[in-house]
Amino acid sequence: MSFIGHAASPDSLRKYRVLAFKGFIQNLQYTASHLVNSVASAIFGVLEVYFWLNVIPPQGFADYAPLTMVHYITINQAFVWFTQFGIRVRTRVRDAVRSGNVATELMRPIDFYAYHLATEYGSLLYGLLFRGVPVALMLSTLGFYIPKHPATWGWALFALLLGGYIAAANMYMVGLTAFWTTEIRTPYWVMSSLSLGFGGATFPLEVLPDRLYRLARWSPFACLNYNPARIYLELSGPELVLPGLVWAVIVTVIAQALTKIARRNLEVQGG
Amino acid sequence: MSRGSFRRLIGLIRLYALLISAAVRAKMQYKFDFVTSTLLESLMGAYDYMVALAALWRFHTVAGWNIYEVGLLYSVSKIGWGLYRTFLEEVDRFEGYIVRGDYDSILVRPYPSLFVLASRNFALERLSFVIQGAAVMVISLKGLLASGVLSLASVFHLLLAIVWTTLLFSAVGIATSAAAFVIVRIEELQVFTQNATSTASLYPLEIYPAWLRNMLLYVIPLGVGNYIPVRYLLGKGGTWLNLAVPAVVALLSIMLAVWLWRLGETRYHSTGS
Amino acid sequence: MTTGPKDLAVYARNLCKAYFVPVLKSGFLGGVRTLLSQEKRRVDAVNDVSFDIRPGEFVGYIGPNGAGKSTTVKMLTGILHPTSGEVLVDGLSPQRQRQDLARRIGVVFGQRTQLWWDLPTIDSFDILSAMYDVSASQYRSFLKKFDDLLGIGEFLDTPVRRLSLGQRMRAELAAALIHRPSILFLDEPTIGLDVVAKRRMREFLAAVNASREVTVLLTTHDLKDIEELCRRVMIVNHGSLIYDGTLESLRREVHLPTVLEVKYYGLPEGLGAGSFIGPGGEVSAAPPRDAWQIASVNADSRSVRVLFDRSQTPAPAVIAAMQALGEIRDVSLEEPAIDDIIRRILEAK
Repeated sequence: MSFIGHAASPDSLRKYRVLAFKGFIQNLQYTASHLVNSVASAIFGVLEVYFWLNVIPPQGFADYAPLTMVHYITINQAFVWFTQFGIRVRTRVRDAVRSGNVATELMRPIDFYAYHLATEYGSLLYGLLFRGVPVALMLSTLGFYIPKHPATWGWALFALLLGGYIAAANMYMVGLTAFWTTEIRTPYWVMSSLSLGFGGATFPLEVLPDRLYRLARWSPFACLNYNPARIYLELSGPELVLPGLVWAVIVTVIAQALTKIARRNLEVQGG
Repeated sequence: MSRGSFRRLIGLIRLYALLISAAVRAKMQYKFDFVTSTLLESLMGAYDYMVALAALWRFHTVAGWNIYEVGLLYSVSKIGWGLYRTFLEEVDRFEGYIVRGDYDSILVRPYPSLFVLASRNFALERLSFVIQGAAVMVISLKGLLASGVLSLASVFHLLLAIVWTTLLFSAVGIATSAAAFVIVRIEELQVFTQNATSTASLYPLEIYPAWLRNMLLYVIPLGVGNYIPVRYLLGKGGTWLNLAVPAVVALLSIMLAVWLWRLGETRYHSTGS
Repeated sequence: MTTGPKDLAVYARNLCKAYFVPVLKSGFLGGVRTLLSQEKRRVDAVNDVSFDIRPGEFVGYIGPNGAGKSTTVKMLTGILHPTSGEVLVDGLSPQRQRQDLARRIGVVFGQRTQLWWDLPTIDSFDILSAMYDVSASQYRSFLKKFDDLLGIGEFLDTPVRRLSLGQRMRAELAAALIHRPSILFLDEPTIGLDVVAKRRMREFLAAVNASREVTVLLTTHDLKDIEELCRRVMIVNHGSLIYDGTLESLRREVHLPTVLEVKYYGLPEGLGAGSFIGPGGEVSAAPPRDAWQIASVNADSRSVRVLFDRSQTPAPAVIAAMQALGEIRDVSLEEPAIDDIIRRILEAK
């Protein structure tokens, strides 16, 4: 049985839309604390802005003028929940494995990977709207870039959606390691450090030493924040969605393969 | 100090030692968990420093501070934070006591409630921050002592600055947790009063706009613990008062925080039937 | 000789505890609107409660869940601050002199442990003896005495988390008495225990109070605890004290009916709910003197339920009357539930 084929039939696609919608709706109740959280998130944005403005030379560096640097940080602070801090799928998968619910979840007529990703994606979209937008509004007092070409909005959003997908798939795999180890903190630490350090969430990757920069910009992590931000700021063209597309396919294949191994592992152990 | 109160103090210290040794023994029942979390946290906590390192590697200074000088600020703040978490971990996790109603059993003991609360844990795993901060401090001191910017006497003042910073973090932590007596959920508040401010205090305050700088000096005065003395020690301005003021502010802050705690305690409403 | 408030074990006057809870908003952005709105609702957890407890008394404090029992105990032990009213425990203010008072009282919360969960039980006793400055010789005699009374010796080396509930409650009780408090507060100490463990706990509590050196205030919703231990009972409902007196006078005042269920081999003829049975087994429709009302008749199980007042009639007399009607297969007695008692008290007023 192919998992990918299973997930792609039109009827089951509707299921995942419903799951994503549920994930979105569930978050609506927590608006008060989200508001407080957004203010805190904006303050972290302010800290970053002033740090970088004082670090970079007055004429800027690479293709980042000081104002562009401000724009880079403010837009990423709006994105960062979506591609970094908002992702909870690892704990959901881990808890399912630990509690043993995973046995029934794997037997459901619904793809395990797609089920978790869809639920996660819904709540991430909520975060983008109700955390990202307020943060962007608050930080706009420091400077906020509005793209010149209307099409840029679409390309940047597309790149961002791919970034959120890749990030969620990565963390899904972290959660899946619970099948083999009791503690997923080590893989989580490795994954979140790479995502944050090579993702360009708090600074442009050009800041890194040159060799690291070349490595980072072609890694899947650059698709989380760096690529969408460059497209949004019109520093790069729409072709920068391509790495995201390629990596989205690659992480899907790897995640599905890992799920298959995990499932076999479970069957051998007899559930 | 009278003989009686001296005896009482000795008794209190011995009891504290007994209580935290019990807490550590209980923790060692889960050794593996302890080792991994300590290791991971010392690495994870270094992220901010890595970013500063990368930035200053490329651009050399921030507002005229080089990586060793920033490292000094950073390490005083990190070590202070680590010591606060090690000693007052249960104060930091106080929300849970209110939510579960566990604070009841603290209040039936014949000692000050903050003492009973703090003595329930000695968070060795939080020493990870101290280890990491100490490593950065050693690197920075090596660089600065070699270039003659710092003397050995200033090392002593740095150690004092760590003490004041620890007290300031404790004051902020206690005051924030005291809010839980009234509003119960304080996790989001802690992000403001502790995480945002401690991150801000890792860098020289002159990079920030006035409102933020004033907040870190006068409202949540974490900047007073590291920035004020370190600035003077590095010859970037100020007088000997820069070494005295932190002590005064730290002690006053602790007194204010304990007062707020006591005030909050009268508003405690325990859960349960 | 007059006794002032300071000579009493507990002195409570017009004790009130009110909470203000925010009125929750629903609908769009409900959470934010709740946060911003100043609208509060007042909840009176304890409302104008006054009582005295003399040294050496054993008082039962009963009421339904949420009636204000625990809130009262928490005000007496210094955990909660009263909204208004006066309280002294052993002559001290629980709020202003909390730490001093803590040395003179022992507290057991049935649902919450005060022991060190992951460590052997003996460690908790060691720590507590240091915390309360118990001398080494006193501590040794404590361990000996409580091994005799409660059998704590059998699990001293077991970590608290592995104790059975019965063992843990014995340990909690011993821990609360290690510093020889003059007043013991027990909040639901028998909750969740099996019959044997409950009986053991009650025997022990009776022994603690036997020499009248320890005053005990026991909250419970198990009437059996009250019956076997307390000479005096206080009943609280919706935050107000609705009864304070001896158990016997409670029985007299509210005519607490005890239910006797009798199962017959063959159900006697002519019995119906509402009719009365006299001492000789005579059945009548109107209530004569010395007769007991039939509550229900169940034809399937061939059983009859009769109400009678234990303060007036011994149970064997009722059983004898029922025996006159037919051959009895089985009898059982049911004590009134707390809710029944409260309903009766409120009706009587």
